Amino acid sequence: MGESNNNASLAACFELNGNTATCSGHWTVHQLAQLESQLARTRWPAGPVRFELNGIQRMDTGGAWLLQRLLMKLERERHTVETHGLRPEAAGMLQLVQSTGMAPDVVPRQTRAGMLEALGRRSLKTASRGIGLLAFIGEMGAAWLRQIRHPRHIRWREIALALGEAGHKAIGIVGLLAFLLGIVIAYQGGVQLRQYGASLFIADLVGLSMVRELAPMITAIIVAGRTGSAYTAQIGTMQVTEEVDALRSMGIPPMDMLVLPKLLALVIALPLLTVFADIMGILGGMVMSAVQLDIAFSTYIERIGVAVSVKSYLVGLGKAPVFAAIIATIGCYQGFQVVGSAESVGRRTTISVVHSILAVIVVDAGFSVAFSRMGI
Amino acid sequence: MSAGPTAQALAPSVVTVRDLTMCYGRKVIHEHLDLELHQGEILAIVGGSGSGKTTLLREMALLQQPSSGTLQVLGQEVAGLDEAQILHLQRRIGVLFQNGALFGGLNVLENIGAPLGEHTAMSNTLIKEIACLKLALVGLKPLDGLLYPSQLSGGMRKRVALARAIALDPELLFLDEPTSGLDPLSADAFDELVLDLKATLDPTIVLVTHDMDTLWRVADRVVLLGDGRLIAEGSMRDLARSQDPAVVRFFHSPRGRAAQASA
Repeated sequence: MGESNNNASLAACFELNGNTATCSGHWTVHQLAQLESQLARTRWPAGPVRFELNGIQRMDTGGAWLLQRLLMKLERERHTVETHGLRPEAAGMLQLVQSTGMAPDVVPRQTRAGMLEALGRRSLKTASRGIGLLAFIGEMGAAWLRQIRHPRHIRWREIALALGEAGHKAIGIVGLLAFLLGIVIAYQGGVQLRQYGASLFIADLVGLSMVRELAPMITAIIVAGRTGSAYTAQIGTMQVTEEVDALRSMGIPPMDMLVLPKLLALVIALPLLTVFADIMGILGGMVMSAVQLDIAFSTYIERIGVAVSVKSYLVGLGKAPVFAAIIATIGCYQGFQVVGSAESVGRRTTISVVHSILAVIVVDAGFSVAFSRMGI
Repeated sequence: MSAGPTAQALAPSVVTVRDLTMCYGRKVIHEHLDLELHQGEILAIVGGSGSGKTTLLREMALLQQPSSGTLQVLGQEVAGLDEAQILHLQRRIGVLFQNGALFGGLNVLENIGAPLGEHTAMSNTLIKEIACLKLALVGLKPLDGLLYPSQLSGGMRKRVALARAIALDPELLFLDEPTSGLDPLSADAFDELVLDLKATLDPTIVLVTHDMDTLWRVADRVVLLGDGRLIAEGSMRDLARSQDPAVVRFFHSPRGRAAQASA
């Protein structure tokens, strides 16, 4: 294309000879970078400076600003500046730039708060978020009570849709991951147990760990990543496009329409998914024990029946609705926290997933402590 | 204020549209359009909703590929260009999108500086200064530069979007519904601003609008689209005198009359 040649002839040039500065070429925004660094390096002689500008063939606002900035700098340093030969169009551009009254110190700067101030602001923000979440939970409870008193207002259609989305469509991935988890535990545990001749206890290991801890947890984590994030993104986008306000203006409480069906659907779906994850995890362990430890399927299942009590099963399953409530609440709350733009939707979605997984694990640890105190 | 037809005929062509057709599947947006855009003029594209105005603007701004026909932009045949060449050409074009399309995660100065930072190697300080200068050119205060798009009013949003569109001093400027959603006073002020920019930076401007006042005040030449065809073309004065029923229907609505009376 011969573009490099072109660029050379287009380039913006500047030369300082004694007290005379000669400028030429195209002083346009694409050519300014080199010129800028050259000007920054230039040492100006004392006394008056004369600018020969008739070599400037083109000048846009960027070029005019660079020149104006230079002139202002020299004048501030008490040089006498003379300019000569600027072509009329370029002179018009320079005049335009001068007429805006622009100066380098006009550029506003983001004021950075001091460390103490930043700490204070962040604490306040965190506190207000916590209060916001509490208020949201309160509002949700109030809306829920209202619906219980007027069951006509329960939105069965939305609940069914959310149930399909959060439950039915998640079966595949939950089942696969639980199955693989069962395989991994059986493999790792089998190696150790065989050394002690206690291979059969692999059923205890897989069964108890899956049913009590791992199945509820892994299901909750998958659902937080899959469904909690979708809740935040959906409500957040509706917030940006003013759909939430549209609902309000029609006299439909967003809580009833957007939050409660999701909450209810997830509270139903997560325990069901957990049961499925229990089964798949134990199946995974069964396959691995047969392959690695030569334990027959029938022996394994018999042992599971002895090892996993109904109590342990219910302890694991009982955690699922709590996890579901946490995930749905955080997901919806973060959705309503979106303000303004697409970027905010992305940030809130990330926060929603991180917070719900964190909360699920913390609450799970709390459950463990509580159960061991109670001797369950 | 119009330069007159003779002056325009002499000016070189910036965009040439020949036999341009755009269709999605069977749905024809426009077909067999011929249009010439001369250097330094302000051309307005008008037409009812769904007449393909915005699509035509997007094709001319190289944001969308036409289905068939030839399109020349800034002296280059668009069909033969590869992606890099198109990007290079797009740097000489500025677009003001209807809703501003400002980046929500960046403040005003960063929004205006975004094309400068992307396409030049200037220092951050100089970019900020040039962005601030553009902000002054569209009539905003330097301190507005620290606001985020979600904090701007409709009128300010349009001004910032215009400042970003002219960040690289484009030769060709597209304005999609520049005054939509503005109150009459802000719309008047925005028309004034467009004329000011035209006088100082002298880009060639294409604007899509429904605003009759803008048509009377700003446009040198008006193109009326309807049913995917070019129905009429000429200055507002010519079109106002036209006897063509489609033109009469469009320009002699009560709104059209009011705008004409005040022009």
